[in-house]
Amino acid sequence: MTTEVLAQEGGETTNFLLPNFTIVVEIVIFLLVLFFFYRFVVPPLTKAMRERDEMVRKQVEERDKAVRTLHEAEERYSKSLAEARSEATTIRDEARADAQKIRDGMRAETDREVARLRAEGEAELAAQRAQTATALRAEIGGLSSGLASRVLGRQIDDGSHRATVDRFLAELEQGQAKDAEGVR
Amino acid sequence: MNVEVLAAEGEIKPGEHWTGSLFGLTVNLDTIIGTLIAAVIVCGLGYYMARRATKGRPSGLQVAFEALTGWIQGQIRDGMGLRAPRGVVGLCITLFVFILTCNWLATLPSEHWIPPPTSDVNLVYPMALLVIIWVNVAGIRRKGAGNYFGHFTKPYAFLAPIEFITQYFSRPLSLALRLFGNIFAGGIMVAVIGLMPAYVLWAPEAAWKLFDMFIGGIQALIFTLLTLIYFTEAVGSEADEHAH
Repeated sequence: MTTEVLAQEGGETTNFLLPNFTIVVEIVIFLLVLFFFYRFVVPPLTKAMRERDEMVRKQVEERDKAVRTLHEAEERYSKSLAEARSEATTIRDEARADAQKIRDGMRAETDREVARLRAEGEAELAAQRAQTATALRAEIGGLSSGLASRVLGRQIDDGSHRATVDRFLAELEQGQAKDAEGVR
Repeated sequence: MNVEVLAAEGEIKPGEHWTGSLFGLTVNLDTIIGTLIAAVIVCGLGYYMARRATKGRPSGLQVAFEALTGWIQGQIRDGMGLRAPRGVVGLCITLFVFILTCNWLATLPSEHWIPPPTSDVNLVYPMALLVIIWVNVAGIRRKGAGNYFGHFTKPYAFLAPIEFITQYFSRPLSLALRLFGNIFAGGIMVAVIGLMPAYVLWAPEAAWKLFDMFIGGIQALIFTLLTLIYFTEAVGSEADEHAH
């Protein structure tokens, strides 16, 4: 029904599945577009794509190279680090040994110095003691004579009793020396 | 009944064109103008892109063209390898971009005056014909005429007529009419939606135009993909060659 009405309204009917002369114009236009693309569009486009692929390939290669270099550098670094550590350990050990040696040397030196000072001190003390003893011995005769004079109530000649006093002192020293040996 | 009346009033006129005369022969002026517009857009965009094509940082347009080219090159590599005939990449790029642009002319509000040229068989027939001729020429050049036509008789000689009909009638017709039918139907849908009252018309119209764009893209893709498949079948893949 619809088709009939349309056919009546439209007058002459054309089957829209059948081409007319337009087909020639259309194919010419399409071929022109095709030619234009072949001539002006596709070559620059594919060239740019090819160049980019090439660039990417190069970049990948460079990256690989850089990665390899980095690995090598890291290996060198670790190796150097290990060497440096081992060297540092050696130096530290040596330094410790040196320090110990210096410490021992200084201690020995100090001990020697202390021994020397002590010996000097002792020698000085002994000298002073001997000096004091000599001085006291010189005075003790007079003192003992004076004391004896006062006890006896008469004058005792210092010169005549000097020998007695000296002998007494000598015996005293001998006794002391024996006591000291006995203590030892 | 309503539709019949509307049709009778001449609101929907499928396949009716604004015609003129060239050398005394009838031509569809709307189709020609649409095709020219599409050609100018396609060539303009292509030229603009190609002039600025760079290996460095590509523009959005170049990225789109490169994606298309990469996809086509991938299909060719997978199907034909090094046996691909020269110029197939260019043909497929042109087909896709040109058909897509033609189809998308349907989204412009000018659809009533300048319908998409792909909704006219006068554009789709020659394109399908060109593809079929090119495919056959490539096949014959690659395999030799005897070998190429002899392939129709394999594995059974009595099936050769069916193969022949498929190759030279079904394929070009289906290739052309699939595209034509989809885009033509889009135009009819717009005309049908146009019969709705104006206050409700915009919603289905907008929805349909978006869907029509999707259809336009799909149809351009199918046309290009089938072209590639036909080429692959005609020249044979590298794997086939090794098998023989």
